[in-house]
Amino acid sequence: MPRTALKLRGYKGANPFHEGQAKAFTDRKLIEEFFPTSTFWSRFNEQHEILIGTRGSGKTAILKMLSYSWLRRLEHERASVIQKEKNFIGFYIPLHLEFIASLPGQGCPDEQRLQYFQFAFNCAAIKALLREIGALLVDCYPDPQRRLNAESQVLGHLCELWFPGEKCELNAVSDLQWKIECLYHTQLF
Amino acid sequence: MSAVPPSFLILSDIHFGAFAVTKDFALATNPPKHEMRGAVPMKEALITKVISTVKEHGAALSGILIPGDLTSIAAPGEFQGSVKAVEDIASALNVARKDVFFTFGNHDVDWRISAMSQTDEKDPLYNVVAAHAGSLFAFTPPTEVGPVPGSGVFVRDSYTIFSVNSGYHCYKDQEYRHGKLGNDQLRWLAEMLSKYAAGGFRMVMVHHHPFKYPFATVVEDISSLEEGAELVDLIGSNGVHIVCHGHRHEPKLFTEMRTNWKHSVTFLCAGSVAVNEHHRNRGEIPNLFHLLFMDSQLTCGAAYGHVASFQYRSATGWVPTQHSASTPIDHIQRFGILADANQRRIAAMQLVKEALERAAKGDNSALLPGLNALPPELQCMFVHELNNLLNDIAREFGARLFGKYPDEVLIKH
Repeated sequence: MPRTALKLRGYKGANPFHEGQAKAFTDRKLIEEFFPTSTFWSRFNEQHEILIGTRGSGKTAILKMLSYSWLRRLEHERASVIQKEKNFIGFYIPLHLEFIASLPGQGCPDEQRLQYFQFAFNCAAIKALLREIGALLVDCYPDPQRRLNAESQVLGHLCELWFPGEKCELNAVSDLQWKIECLYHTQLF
Repeated sequence: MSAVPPSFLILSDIHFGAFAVTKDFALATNPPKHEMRGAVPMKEALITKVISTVKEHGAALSGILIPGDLTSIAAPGEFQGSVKAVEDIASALNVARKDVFFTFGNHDVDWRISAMSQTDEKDPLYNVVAAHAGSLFAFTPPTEVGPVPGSGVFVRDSYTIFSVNSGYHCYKDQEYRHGKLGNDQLRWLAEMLSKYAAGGFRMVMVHHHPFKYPFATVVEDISSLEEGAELVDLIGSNGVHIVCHGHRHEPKLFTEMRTNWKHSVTFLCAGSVAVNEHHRNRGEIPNLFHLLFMDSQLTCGAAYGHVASFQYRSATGWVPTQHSASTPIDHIQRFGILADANQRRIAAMQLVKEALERAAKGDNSALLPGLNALPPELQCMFVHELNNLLNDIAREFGARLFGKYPDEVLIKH
């Protein structure tokens, strides 16, 4: 009986195992390759849940796909319903090893470490939230004029929260993401 | 002129062979030295991207321009492989073989043959043989044959291409490495530009750049064309619309005008389709291809159109270019209008004023026109500079903008 593996001989396409972890996947790759199971759909609830799994078991893929901006791109009836109802707006805050490693080490006083973690976590959280806000604005306001008006209001509020006393001259949610990114990388602890 | 303006795929500096980044553009027997593995197949993805983009633009490709450096070291197998790769692309894009236009660059002179001119025989004709190697493989019969391989005039319904070979004199013993046309080609080109004065959009294809371009650090650019000044004068005074060249692997698109020129001329310096990162500022510049769409001829005679540029990413294939210091070109870059800062400012002020008038009649906000509906002098700006200009002007009027071009933009009092 011919071995199935032999069919791979001479294969010239892209290496399907090039990226081993969902954190490095492109959005398109994740969405195209994600297969939702009933377990996945039952995660859309109001309970606290802890997702446990070995490296590569799909935790990040699930968390990303629970987020509104990824889910809305999944071609699935249940995804469309969740997107339409908007009772569950998930957002994914990446706290990968590189992030943890960037935090101050043992030599740093505990109080300062905590402060730094809070600051860094807030930056990561708002960036993730802004991604979802961007997607929500697009879905909620098909009319560009209404959407941009809503975006200007959201921007105004968030700028006031993050940069109080500073005149907000940003044009878009993406500008605020960039400003927070700059803040994160220039903050000296 | 034909009612349908032409559009072209530009594949420059392929460097088929050892200097390529992928097996798609190298011989199986001599794979690339710095091969990118496990990546999205470059050639297939390019075809897919061109098909979808041309469809989005509602156009049909008129031809493919290959402005030199088809190969890495001008080996016969590299020429054959490079031409075969281009022919595969042309076939998949329904471009007739007669509409694939080649010229040669410095890498297309076989230095192993050229070196023989320095042996005991001291026979300089080995240099000529070395520079003719490419024409055995990359040849499209021209309407008018030029004095050297890679030179010729190609007359079509809506356009005429004047091709010159600036790599012809790039022999192994060239005193310093640079492009050179030589008197024969220059004289011939002058004659042809005058003979084929009509004929829709007029384009010159050459490998080396006729101007010196700055490097990241200040050093003398000696690699440009020896007769650059003469070529540019010929081009301007003979009403050429577009000059398309390669060589430096750094994309540029700009329009120039001089006192004695018939009209402005747009210069497109294409990036490299497939050369490895060592030849792209250590990877700082991506692999690129461009689609050139001619839209119309302005009343002054200059060409108005746009270039769609794509950069390659190993994980996702060809994606729209992102403007940066090393890739100073927008994904969709309009060209053809020469406007000074004051003219651009006046156009932008008018735009903001009209939008604010509309806003005053409604809820104090109004959408600005889409990018394609803006005055041409604004469309031809880099989009980030356009956004900055409009922001400044909106502030002067006590208003603010939300959103950014190329997407929707709202103005609010």
